[in-house]
Amino acid sequence: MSTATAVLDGVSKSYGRTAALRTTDLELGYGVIGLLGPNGAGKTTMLRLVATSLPPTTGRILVAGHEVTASMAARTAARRCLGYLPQEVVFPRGMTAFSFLDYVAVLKEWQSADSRHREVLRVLELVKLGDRATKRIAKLSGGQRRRLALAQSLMGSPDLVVLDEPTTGLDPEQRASLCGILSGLAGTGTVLLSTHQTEDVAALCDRVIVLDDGAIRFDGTVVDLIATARGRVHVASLANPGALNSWRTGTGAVRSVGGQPGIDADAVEPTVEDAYLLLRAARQDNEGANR
Amino acid sequence: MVRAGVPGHDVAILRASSGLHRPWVAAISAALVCAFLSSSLPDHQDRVFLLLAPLIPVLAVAMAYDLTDPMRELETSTPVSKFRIALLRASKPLAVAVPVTTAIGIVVPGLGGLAFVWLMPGLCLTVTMLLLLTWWTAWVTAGALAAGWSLVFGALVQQRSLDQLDSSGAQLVFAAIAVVAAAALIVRTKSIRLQGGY
Repeated sequence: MSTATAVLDGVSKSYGRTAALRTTDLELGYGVIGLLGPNGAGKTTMLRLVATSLPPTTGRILVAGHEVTASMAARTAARRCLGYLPQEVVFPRGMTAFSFLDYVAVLKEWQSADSRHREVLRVLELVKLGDRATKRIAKLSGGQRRRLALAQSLMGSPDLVVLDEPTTGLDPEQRASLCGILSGLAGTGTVLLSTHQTEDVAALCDRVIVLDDGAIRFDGTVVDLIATARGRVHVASLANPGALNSWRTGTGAVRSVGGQPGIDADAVEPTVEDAYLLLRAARQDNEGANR
Repeated sequence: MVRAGVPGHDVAILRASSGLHRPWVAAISAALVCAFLSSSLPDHQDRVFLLLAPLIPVLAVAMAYDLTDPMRELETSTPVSKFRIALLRASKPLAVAVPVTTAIGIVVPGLGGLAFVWLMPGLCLTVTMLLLLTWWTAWVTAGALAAGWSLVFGALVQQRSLDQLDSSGAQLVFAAIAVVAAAALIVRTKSIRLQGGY
């Protein structure tokens, strides 16, 4: 029996003639899984499909064993097992942090006011907004609102948490705190998150999926992704004009990604960002060659 | 609201529907426009009032369904019935639209006798709208009903039988349609509840 929390089986999504996500097969198990990709790569579409907020054009989606594409009942059962943070959460006006989360708890079928309020306070504490419970959302800072939006996705400790760019708008301290929360969840469920911050992926994710042009270009561990760039990142005293990216660092040395290294270049350990850039460049080269 | 017997979780949904001031404002504005047109066209004030008044609740419900749901994407991925949320939200602007429009019918000189005539067609259109909303989007439904009502109204005007709207027969027909639509709505929402819908 599969231990996957979510399964995409031949799933695609098109808007008219535009393919937002090409036919995709994917299994998501326990842990934190990062989705990387440029804007328009299909990350949000994939997250929305998994979060059951969007129907696929083709294929089957299973969440916590429920085939969400089969029936409304199955979709409802799946929704009881997931938390979703959309890219942008527009808060109802005039609400406090507490009343917003209380509302989301109602949407998640918490009927008893006592247990609902306990859960609201728990997630507020989790995102370090316990002392802001009675504050109006309009009076919260951008980072606090983002954490509040995150808090609603964590309500009820769902098996699957889907987060669309959760670190946007957070300062380094808040990001570190978020990493702590998400890594805590990883032991008991699946966290699928999209981000443009490659350092978040390196710090947090057990597995990374790189999406580009609606298709998966890489799926593996962070270590595997970094390994694809090994021997292709160098530091030298002179700029490398053939490199994909080349810049002078704070130490005065020039760091270059890709291209033929110069005579005095020394190979250095690549980062997730280096590997991601090389992956993207390789794809663009392939496209150019195929034209 | 809790003291009035509304369950706590429904109060939480209503409390979150703060964006409902827009359909609320739209309903009052539409009622005022209706009052203005009725009073400034004394020769046709009954036609203007009876054409527009039943559409005011339709407008309020359409806005409540479509425009004032800032959390739609977040709500979609939760298990609660979206239709239930929508019904609760529609109730709030309706509670304003109906008495305001009726009051205008009473207050505007010359309309006194028509102040309550529009209620049954209005109820009929609103319940039919709630039923159609289980298939169509808010503005498609509102547009279709407005067009349908205009056609019926135009036919009555052409046959010079607009006063029939006030007859018990016509009122009974509207009431019967409303009852059938309400029954269909109950069956529809009980069978699918729109829980699990996208």
